[in-house]
Amino acid sequence: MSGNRTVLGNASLAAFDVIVIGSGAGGAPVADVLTRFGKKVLVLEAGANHFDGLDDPRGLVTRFSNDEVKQYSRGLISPDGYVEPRTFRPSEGAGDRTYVGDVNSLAKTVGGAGVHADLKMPRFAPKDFQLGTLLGDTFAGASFADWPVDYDMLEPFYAYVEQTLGIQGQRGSDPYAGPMKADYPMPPGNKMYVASRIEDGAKKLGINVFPYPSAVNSRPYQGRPACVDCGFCSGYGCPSNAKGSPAVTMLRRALLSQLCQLQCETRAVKLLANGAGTRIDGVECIGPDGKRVTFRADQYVLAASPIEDARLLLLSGNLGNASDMVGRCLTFHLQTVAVGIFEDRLHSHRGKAVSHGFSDFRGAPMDPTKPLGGIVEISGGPGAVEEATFYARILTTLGQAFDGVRFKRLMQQSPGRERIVALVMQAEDAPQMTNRVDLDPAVKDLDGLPVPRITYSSHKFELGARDFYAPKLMNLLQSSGARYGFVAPIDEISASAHVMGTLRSGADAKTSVTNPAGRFHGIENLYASDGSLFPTSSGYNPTHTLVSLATRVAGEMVFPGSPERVLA
Amino acid sequence: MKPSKVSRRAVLKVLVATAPGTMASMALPGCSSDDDRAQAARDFFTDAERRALGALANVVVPSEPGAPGAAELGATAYIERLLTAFDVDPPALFADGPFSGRQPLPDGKGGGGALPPNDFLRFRPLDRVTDKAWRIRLYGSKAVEGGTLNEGVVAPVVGLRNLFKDGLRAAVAEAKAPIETLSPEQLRDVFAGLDSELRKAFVDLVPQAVWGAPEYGGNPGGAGWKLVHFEGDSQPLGYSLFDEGAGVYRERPDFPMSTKDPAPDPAPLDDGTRAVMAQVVAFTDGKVFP
Repeated sequence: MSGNRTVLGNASLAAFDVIVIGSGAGGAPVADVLTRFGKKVLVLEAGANHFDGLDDPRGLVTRFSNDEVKQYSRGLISPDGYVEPRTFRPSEGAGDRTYVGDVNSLAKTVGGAGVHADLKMPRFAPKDFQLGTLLGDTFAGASFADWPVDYDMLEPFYAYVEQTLGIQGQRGSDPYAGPMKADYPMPPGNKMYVASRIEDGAKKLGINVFPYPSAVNSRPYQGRPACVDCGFCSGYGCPSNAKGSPAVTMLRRALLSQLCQLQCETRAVKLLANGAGTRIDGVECIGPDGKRVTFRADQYVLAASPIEDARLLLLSGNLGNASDMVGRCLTFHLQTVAVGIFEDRLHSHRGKAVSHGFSDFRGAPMDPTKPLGGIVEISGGPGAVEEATFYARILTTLGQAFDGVRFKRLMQQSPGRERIVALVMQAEDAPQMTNRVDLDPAVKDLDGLPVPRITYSSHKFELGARDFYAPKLMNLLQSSGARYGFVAPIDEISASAHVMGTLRSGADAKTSVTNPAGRFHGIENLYASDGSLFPTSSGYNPTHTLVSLATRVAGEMVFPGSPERVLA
Repeated sequence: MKPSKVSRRAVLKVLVATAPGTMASMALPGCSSDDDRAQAARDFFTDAERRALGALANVVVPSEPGAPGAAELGATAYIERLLTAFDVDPPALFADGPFSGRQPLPDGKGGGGALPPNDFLRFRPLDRVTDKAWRIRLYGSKAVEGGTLNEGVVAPVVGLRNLFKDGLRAAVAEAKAPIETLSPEQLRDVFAGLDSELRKAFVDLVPQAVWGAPEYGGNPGGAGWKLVHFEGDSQPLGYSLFDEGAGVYRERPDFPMSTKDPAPDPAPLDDGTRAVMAQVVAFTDGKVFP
C-alpha cells in the first residue's frame, strides 16, 4: 500500500451529489465547474498522487522531475503491461488476440494524461464537426458523423479553457483555424532553434509555420511561473507547474473549494444500476488496500479515458449499450513521422518538445488535391537515455551484433538527440464500427477482471492521406537542409496517446451512446465527459476540445440546455 | 513486459523500449539513506560476480583512454541497486522530485540564483499496483503471491534478480580466467554466449545507468552526461529565463535554446555513424539528401 496520501480535498465529506470517475482532462473540468456551482463532488482516480499541496492553498509542489529513469525507463505513471495488460488484434479474423501488453495506454495518475502531455492545445476547425455531412458514406467502411455540437457552440468553452489553463499562442496565425473572439491570454514563448531551421525550409515551399498553441506559461500566470524550456516536457510532469495541466488548474481549484474529495489509487470496477438499467445507484471500487468499497451519489460521470470508460460499462453488464455502439468507432490518429538528421547540432532536446507547427497539410474534405491530413508538429529530440534506446533499437533492427564502440560513438555524436528533427503529422482517422473495445475472453488483470481488447486497423482514408503528405514532409526536410530523411514505419499497435471515440455522442439513440449533453441515452443520471464522446477525430490534437467539451457537459448538468451559463 | 511509452516525441516511432525485467522480499523499514541503499546493493553479488558484471557492462559501453566505459560510469552500482530496490523502504525505484540541486533556481532577472536541495535522494512510495508490478519484474512472477497471471496466454516473468544472478554465476564458473581480465574480444564472446534475455537486459539497463540521474547509482557526478555532451536535468534553471522586470525571456549564453550553440561541434558525425544512418535510410526507404 502506498505511503502517499490517498484522500485529498475535503476528507470529511460523506455524501455526494456527483461522482466523477477519472481526474484527468475529462474529469477535472467537471469537478471544477460543479463545485463552483455548489455541488459536492467525489472524484475517483485509479492512479497515485504525485503532487504535494494540490489541495492546500498555501502552495503546490510537484514530485515530477527531469528524470528519464523515473518517467521513461521505469514508467512511474504508466500502466504496467503485465499486471494491467490490454490485448490487441488487427481484426476479428485475427483470432482472440495477437498481442498482450500495453496498447496505447494513457498515464494513470492524479491529473491523468494531462500531467505528462506537453499540452499542445489547438482548437478543432469548424469543418471538423461536420464530416458526416461533408463526407457522408463516400468511404466504404467509414462511419463519419456530424458532432451534435458545432464550432460556434463550443467557441465560448474554448475561450474559457484558454483563460483557465493559460494557453499561449498567436491568434490568427493558423489559416485553417476557426475564429477566436478573444486573444490567447499569453503570447508565444521562445522559438526552438530546430523550428527556425524548418521554418527556413518551409518558406521556400510556401508553407506557413506558426507558434503552436500550448497550455504552457510564457509569462507568470495565475501564481505559476513562466516555462524555462527545460526540455523534459512531453512525457514528463512539469517540475515548476509552468504547464497548466488540468490537475494544477481545474482540479486544484475544485479541491480548494471544500466541496470536492479525491480518492486516489481507487479503481472503479463496476457501475451498480437499477434492474432496468436506467439509473446508476453506485460505483464499486477497489481501494488502495485492495479491498472493495462502494460509493454513491445522485449523478455519475465517466472520465477515465475512452478505452477504460467502455471497459467499465462492459464490466457492468453491458450497461448503456442498447445501440451496440459502446466501444465502437475508436480512433487513435495515424501519426506520420518524417525524421530528419542534420549535419550540425540543433539541440532540439531543449525546449517544450514542440514550439511551432503548420497546418498546410490539414487538407479539406472531398478535395483530392488536398486530402484530409493533420496539423504537423516540429518536434525535437529526446533525453540521453531515450536516445540510447533509439540506437540500441537501430543496431538490433539492422541485424548486427551489438557494437559497443559504435553505440558509444552514436551517443557522443548524437544524431538522434542533437541533430534530429521529427515532423509529426496528426491524422483525421476515419471512424470505423470494427475499430472497437470489448472485453478479452480470457486475459485478466491483477484483480481478476477481464481486460480491454482493442481491435484496430487503419482505414485507407488516413493511409491515403499519409501516402499523399509523406513525400511533402520529406521535401520539407530536404528544403530545410537535413542530410538524412526517412518516414518512420507505421506502428503495428498505435502509441499515439490520442484516444477518442467509444461512447459516440449524437442525437439518435440508435446510432450513438450519449446524447448532445453528454448524458447516456436511456440512463438518466450517467454522463461521459472525455474523448470517448468524439464522433470523429479531427486532425488536430484533441486535448483542447476534450477539456472544452467536458466543461460544456458540466454546464449541461448544472443548467440543462444553457451550458454556457457556467462560463459567467 | 514493457513499460508503456510515456513520451510522444517522434523518436518513439522508430523504437520501442524493451522492459527492464523484474522481485520480492521484505522491506527494511527506515532503511532509506543513500548509504543504506548502497550497502543493501553490495550484498547481492559475490565479488567475482560483481567484477564480471562490470566487465560485461563494458561490452555495451566500452572503456577507452580518456573516455570512461560503463563500469567506470557506475553500471554495476545501478544494476545492483535496482535488483535490491525492495531491500529498503520506500523501494529505491522512483526518485523524488522536483529538483536535483544540480541547477540553480531562476532569479527572476534572467539569471540563476540559489541552488535548491536535492530531492532525488529520496524515493517515492509505491501504490498497490506498482508495488506488485515491480516485485514481479525483479523477483519473477512465480515468486510473488498472485504474480502468475494469464497462464497459458502470457509467458511467466523471469525475475531480473535471477536472470543476473544465475547468468553471472554461470559465466564466472565457465570462464577460463577471471572475466575482468579477458581481452575486449574475449569479453564480447562471453557476452554473446549469455542468455539472450540477459543480453537484452544489459543493453536496456547499462544506458540507464550511464545516462540516468546519478542518484540511481550510476553516472557519477554527471560523468556519463559529460561523455556525450548532454546537460542532464536542467530544472529549475532551464534554458529560457524569464526576466520579470522587463517582461521578456533571456537565454543562457552557454546553452541557448533558440539559436545555434556558441561552442564548436564537440563530436561531428564520423564515417561509422554516417554508415549507420545510411543503413537506417536504406531500411526505411528514406533518402540521403545531397
